[in-house]
Amino acid sequence: MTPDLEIRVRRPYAQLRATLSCIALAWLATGAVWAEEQSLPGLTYASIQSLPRWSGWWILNVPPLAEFQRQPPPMKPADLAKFRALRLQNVESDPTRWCRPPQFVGYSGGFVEDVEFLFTPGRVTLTNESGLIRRIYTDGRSTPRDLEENNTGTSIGHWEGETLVVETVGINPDAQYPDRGPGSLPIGKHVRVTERIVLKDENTLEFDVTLIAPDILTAPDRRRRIYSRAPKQIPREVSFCVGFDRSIDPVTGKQRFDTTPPKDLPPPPRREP
Amino acid sequence: MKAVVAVVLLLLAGSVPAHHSYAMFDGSRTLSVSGTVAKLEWMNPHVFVWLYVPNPKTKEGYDLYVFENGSPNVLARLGWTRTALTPGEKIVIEYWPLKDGRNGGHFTKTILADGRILNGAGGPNAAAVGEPALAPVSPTGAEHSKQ
Repeated sequence: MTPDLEIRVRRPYAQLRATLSCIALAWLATGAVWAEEQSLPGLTYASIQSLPRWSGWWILNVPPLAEFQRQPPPMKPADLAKFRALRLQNVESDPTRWCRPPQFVGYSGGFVEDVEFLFTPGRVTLTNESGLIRRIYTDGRSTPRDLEENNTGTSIGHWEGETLVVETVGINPDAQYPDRGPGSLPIGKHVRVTERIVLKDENTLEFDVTLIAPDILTAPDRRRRIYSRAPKQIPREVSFCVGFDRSIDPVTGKQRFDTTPPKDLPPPPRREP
Repeated sequence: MKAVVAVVLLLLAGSVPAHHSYAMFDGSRTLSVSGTVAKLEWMNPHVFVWLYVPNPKTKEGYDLYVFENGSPNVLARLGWTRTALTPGEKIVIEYWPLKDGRNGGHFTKTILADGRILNGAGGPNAAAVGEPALAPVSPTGAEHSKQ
């Protein structure tokens, strides 16, 4: 066989071998990823059973603003002073502030709302009584590159042993920090919330939260929040955006104490002799 | 478990925030009135209790009092329901009065005819029972507001 002929005969086999090798490698890689995904905790209904059991309702033991008194958030001094002053006087005239949609700015739940955990394959869902719904994906996906900002952000979770670690980005920069009350600030851009959630005992759930909000905080704000299990919880809607509020004037947004009797008030009892 | 729940409820009873300031209430005084339930307004964000209080000096023989209370979800944790008080029922209400002298204030608790007690939620003395205000409490008793 001449060298030219040998090359012509061997080259097709070499190309075939290379192609098959690539296919095999790709198949193995895909299989490995698939296998890894299938082994992720909570990816099937069966494996959810092996996760720590904190499905259900929980009561936040100390409202965030009470906690802020002990551990003020690292807001810029001028912002903090303004916030405190407006809270004290409640003078901000913004009647629409209570009608903003539920927004997540690092506090799972709210201020008088219990929170609820729901476990489904590849996802943990967190709700509260004012209608916040956070979907935390635990199926191995990555944070999307082309994030669309929204009021709950985009949450990706993974399990480290019995701790659920949640990273949240893509929070609406206009979401109000720390809540919707007077003196709150738009949380700004490049916000990241890291939560490490762990069951400390059967009835105690701990959130170790780190909030990075460079537009309004001078440093990351880390704090622990403790919730107690509420096994008999009957969820009730909590709404500050109502058609009739005896405490807030709907026109000016300022507080009041409205003593106008309800139209359907029954007559007073007969005068006692 | 019961102890945990009791502690939580105690915290909630004293520390439940409002979505407005409590400056309108005088948290330094607790008053008490007896009367007949006119209505329990079970609504968000605050529940209100209306009470006919006998007053022979008035033409009708009664004054109408109104008391602000916590939100339905928080009160439910304390044992309230939307029918916890029924019109015509005779009760005693303890409250922090309005500073402007109108009849009413912030509900603290009620004693039912059978002696049972229903505690209220929220109010100006939250700081006094362990929840300090984020903003400093002013000399006039103004308090913080929270969602």
